[in-house]
Amino acid sequence: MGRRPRAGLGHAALRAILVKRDSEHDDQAAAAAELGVLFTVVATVSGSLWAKAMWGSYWNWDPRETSIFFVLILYIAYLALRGSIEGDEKRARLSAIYSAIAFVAVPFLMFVVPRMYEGLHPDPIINNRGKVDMDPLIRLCFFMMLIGFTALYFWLQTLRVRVTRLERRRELARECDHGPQLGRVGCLAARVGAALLLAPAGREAGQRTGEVTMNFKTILAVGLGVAAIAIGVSSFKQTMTPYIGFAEARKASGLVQVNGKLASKDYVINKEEQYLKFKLQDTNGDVMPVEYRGVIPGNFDQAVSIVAIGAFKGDHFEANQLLVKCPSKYQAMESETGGKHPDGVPQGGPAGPAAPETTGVAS
Amino acid sequence: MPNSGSNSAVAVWSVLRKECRTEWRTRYGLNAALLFAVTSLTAVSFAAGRLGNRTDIMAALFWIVLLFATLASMSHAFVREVESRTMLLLRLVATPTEIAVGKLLFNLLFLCVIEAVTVPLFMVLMGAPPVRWGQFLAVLGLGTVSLAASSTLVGAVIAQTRGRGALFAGVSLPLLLPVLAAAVGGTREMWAANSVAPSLKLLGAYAVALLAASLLLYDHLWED
Repeated sequence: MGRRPRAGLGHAALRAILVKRDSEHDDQAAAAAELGVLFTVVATVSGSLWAKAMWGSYWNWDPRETSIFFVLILYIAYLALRGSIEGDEKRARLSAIYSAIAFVAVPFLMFVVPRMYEGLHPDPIINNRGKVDMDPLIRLCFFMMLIGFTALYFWLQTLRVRVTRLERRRELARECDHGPQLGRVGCLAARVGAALLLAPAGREAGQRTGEVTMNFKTILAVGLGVAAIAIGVSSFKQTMTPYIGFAEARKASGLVQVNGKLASKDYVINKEEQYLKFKLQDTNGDVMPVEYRGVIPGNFDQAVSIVAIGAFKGDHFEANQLLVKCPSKYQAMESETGGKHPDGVPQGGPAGPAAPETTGVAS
Repeated sequence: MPNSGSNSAVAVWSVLRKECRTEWRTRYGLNAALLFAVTSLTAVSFAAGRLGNRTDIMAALFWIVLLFATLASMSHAFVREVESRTMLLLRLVATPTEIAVGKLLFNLLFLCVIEAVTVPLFMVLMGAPPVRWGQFLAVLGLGTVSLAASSTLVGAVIAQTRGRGALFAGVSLPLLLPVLAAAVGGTREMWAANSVAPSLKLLGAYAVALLAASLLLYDHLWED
């Protein structure tokens, strides 16, 4: 759970490329993307196994699952793009452009779009109350993992960049060997000198040409960007109407998702026949009988919140898929008894504008 | 060469006019795109039949058809310049931003033409229920702006790579997923007679963010 792919980390370096035109930054960015893929794949696979154990399904397009999937394909697209560009300078420039535009998409992918749907992730980790509400043991593990994996990431990153640097140097040396009889050291010195002389000159020239239009454009673009983010955030608050109510579910024709808690303990469970019958209660107090046939989630009796996907038939809701949320293993003991917000399930609407997690930790 | 505002506008306008004229001469890009849109629409229609009351699925299929048509055809505005070796010449007469904005407007126009054919055809073939046009056009318009903005920037980048067209779809898709999610949501709400405002806001915010970022990045598209 505690593994967080460093999604945004490479981007600072990537944007530095556009301004400074330094190949070292490009190496950093490439290494960050490669490691990003590795970490994201590890997090996705382990998280998916965890989801099977906890919720009874490997993959359910839960908000965090959705956002990590988006990040994964962004990384892969970025690396595919890099692979198809010839020439170091061009590769650095174009892939930096792509990652800058991808950086615009990331907040939408990570925070806005996935939050249009309700999640199953335990909210004690990060919540709208702004404090870490975890069991002390879990908290210890979580932060150890966070620090450990972050350190591992930085170590791997430096290794990767050093390897690239060595490769670059070897290439340079080989070119010099095939060149005129200047001597290897002389050739290297000439190249480094030329690079040093050319780089600042080029940069100044670039700045001079665009100076007048650039200022206006920068202001315009930054203003628009801020406005866009503001609108995006406000729209995210409005779209927090996760599940439909029971009354609507009874009328709906197709598959629907309903969410609630166990109304009473008198449910019928038959593991051999894979049959389960219980009463689900939504936040309005409306109770609906649910029947489910399939693999029964192991922690059903502890469920704080249950998501049922299916259709209403006759007098009951027939679920094809059942997902249970059991945050109790992560929750600190004191919040079990008091201070816990109703049902542990955030609602849409003005009364309880509860976003379960406000930052992109976990999955 | 610092340009005054009116000079830039003239340059953008002439790039747009030049684009339209080259396109109209051969109509190769437009024909290919329309053919693709109609073919994928027919495939969807054959596969799914008339979906009269399943407006949620219809909204998804509609945007997938449109997205496919975009991905199949929108890279050609820049790829064509590279293939006919006219890119250098174009860059002599206009700044990168002027070229890119001109192409963006052309792409926008191009998408509108595709939509003008696809939308009515989709409604007829899929047996769609009555559409609330005001809301539908708002969703469609904002979605189109995002599609065009993303395709212009990615198209300019992709034209300089080895694979050109081949990579365009894969590289564009992650950028277009928020558009797809919000636009499908909006269209579905439109048919379900709910409020489309949240989806519109999301679409608008994304379109503006894409345009703002593009405006900053256009300068770096080509190395002098």
